[in-house]
Amino acid sequence: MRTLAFVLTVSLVTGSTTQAAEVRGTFSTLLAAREDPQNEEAVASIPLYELVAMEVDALEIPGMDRSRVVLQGFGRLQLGDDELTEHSADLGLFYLDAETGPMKLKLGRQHLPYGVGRMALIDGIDGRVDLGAGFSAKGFFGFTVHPELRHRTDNWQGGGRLAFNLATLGHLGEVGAAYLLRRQKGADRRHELGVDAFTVLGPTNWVALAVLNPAEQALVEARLSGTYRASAAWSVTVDAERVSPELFLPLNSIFSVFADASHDAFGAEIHFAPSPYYTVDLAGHAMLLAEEYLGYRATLRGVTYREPSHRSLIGAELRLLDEDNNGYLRGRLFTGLQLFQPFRVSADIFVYRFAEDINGEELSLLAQASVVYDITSSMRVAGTITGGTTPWAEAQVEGMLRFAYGWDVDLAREVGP
Amino acid sequence: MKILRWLSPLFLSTMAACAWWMAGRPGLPELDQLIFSHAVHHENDVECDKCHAGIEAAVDTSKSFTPTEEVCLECHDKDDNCKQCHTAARTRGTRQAHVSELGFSHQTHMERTKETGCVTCHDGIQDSTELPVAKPSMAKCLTCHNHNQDYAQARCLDCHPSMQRLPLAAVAEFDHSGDWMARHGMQARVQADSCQQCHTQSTCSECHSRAAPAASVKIYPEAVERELLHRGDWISAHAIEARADGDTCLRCHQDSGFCVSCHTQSGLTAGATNGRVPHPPGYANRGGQAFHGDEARVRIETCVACHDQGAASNCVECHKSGGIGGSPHPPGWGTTHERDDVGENPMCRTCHSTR
Repeated sequence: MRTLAFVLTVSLVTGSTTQAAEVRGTFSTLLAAREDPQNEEAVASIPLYELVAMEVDALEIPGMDRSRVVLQGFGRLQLGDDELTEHSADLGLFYLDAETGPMKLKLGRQHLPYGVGRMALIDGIDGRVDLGAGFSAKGFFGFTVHPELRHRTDNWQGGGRLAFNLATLGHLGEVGAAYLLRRQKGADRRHELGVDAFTVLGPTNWVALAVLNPAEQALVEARLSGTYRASAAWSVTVDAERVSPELFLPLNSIFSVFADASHDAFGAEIHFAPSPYYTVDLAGHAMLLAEEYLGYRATLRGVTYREPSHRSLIGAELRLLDEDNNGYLRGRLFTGLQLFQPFRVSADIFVYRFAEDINGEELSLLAQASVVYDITSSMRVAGTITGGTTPWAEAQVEGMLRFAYGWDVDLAREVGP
Repeated sequence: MKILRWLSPLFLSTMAACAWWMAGRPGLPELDQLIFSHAVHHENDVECDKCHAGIEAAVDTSKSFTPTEEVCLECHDKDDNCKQCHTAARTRGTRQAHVSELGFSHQTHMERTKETGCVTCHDGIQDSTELPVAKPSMAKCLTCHNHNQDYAQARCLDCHPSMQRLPLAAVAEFDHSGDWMARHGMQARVQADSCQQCHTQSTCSECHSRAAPAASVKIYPEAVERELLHRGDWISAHAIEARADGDTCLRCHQDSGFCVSCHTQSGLTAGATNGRVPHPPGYANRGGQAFHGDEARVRIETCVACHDQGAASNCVECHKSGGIGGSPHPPGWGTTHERDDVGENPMCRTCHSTR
């Protein structure tokens, strides 16, 4: 990765034919401290962190129609009493995203969000090519990322996805088949074959996927979701999922000989937005374990907005979780208020009522208040204080300070939806 | 508890301020609006390009063709009666900056709509009597352009070059309403290209990065409108959540040592001083309500969360040939696994010989 990072950096900084047309970046400095409930001394809960997120858009690279570089990383500094006691830095992402004709290419540290990649982080290459006649193919290969820029060359993964666009048949949607082989320490850790589909049928749209373990000939995961969009004001979504232990266990894990159950969930969700000033969401799901009813989870959430831009809001939420005679009821009130252009305040309060006492306590209460001040359009400072009483601390308090700055930075995006 | 004495009033005050502010919705300060009727101008045979001069040659939307006051004064006399054109002249502000949001050529379109004119796209504008006038909707574009293939593939950038700068408005199949947090993973796996129209992977990394220094709920606490995991007293609730839906935990926290590392650090493991054994009472007794064998069959992820997954797993100390735990294989195992597999799978050789 160090070599790759060097090549990418040099090509950006010194390449005479490579020109950055637009750079956007956000640099955030975070520091948080909390009171130690035992001795009431302040201790760092988040040491000094520097978060960096940069996008270099519209690079002009010969032979490429469209290019960009994305970088995200952080540095951490833990100060001791009198001296520097600990520090670290790492790259979250660093990749070149380029496109030419029917081909797309990502090179560098990146996630694998599609198919059966499961958001794995690799240092490698991911490419896509349009094959014509509605077919497209993606493929990836890379070394599995471990923290602190370290690699093991026998920890790699490769795979891809072949897709067919239903538009070729005059229908909205796509079907695909995906493959993944992940090796770890010289042995197969994961070996999966997936099929998926997305389609629009009248006012409904559907997404489905199934993942198989070809070695065990077992179903690893299956999910189906359908949304009926009655109007702009409301929609109903139904979904169901089945997950098997194969999903979580490496193929060479001794634990796989013990596991013998599927986890299922199915339910529905209603979204209701009668005007730009109100939204109501109601969701409920039943959970099954080994095909026996285990419990349910449900959420009711309502938000009212002061203006259509949704900058100022008040919301309330109830979440109920019942699992095999255990669970909780959670109430939440939250608000965000754009007092005037540079000032925003927010508050959030959570109350838990546990079905079974935790550490002898039935209730938990946490409240949080934040003040955000936009010093300029590209500079923001935010302060947050959190406090309350929980089963683990009769009284706890934590404060956080964040300073975000950059150039051509879209701060609305930093805190956006 | 001292902190609670002033934190509670602080929180309640903030909530009250917000409620007061929200209650003022009907009383929003009146902003200046121009009084203008396209209908009147149309009835008086004022051609569109009289006010929107030069728009017929525009090949993109980088320049605004909304007429300035000077254009109005070419025909109208300026007098002292501000209210003739302004609803609230006292609050009159500067014109909002023009933002180019669309890859669109008026030149190309006007050449093809010479006979039907501007109303081909700006339907009904000749009858409008006030401002602002709605821009043509995307549905209007689709009356001529067949976007099915682009739409299915979410190829938006040809017409929407700046989507990353726009708010993520609800766009048909790609909106983020309701319980989007629960559904977004599946959508991304099937339609990752759609996500990339607006997002780079930096968005994903805020939560999914293994290198992330802190959960996004810690980094953006003021973003109360966002659906973020781990809100509130997560320390107390996480054990309940994990037992109800441990699968969701393991989608991100895949390392077997994730749980135990924190529990060890907090002195909660069995080996620690004053340690707390996580196993429920009776977990060692066959036939008991929480017998560990039954739990392992249906909730193996909870075992994996702490125990080593290697061949030296403490399970096979008892569950082996001749061990007190007996065979670990569930019923029907032999029908799906060949004896010859033993030689090919190191896991099998933990207990079985290849002979």
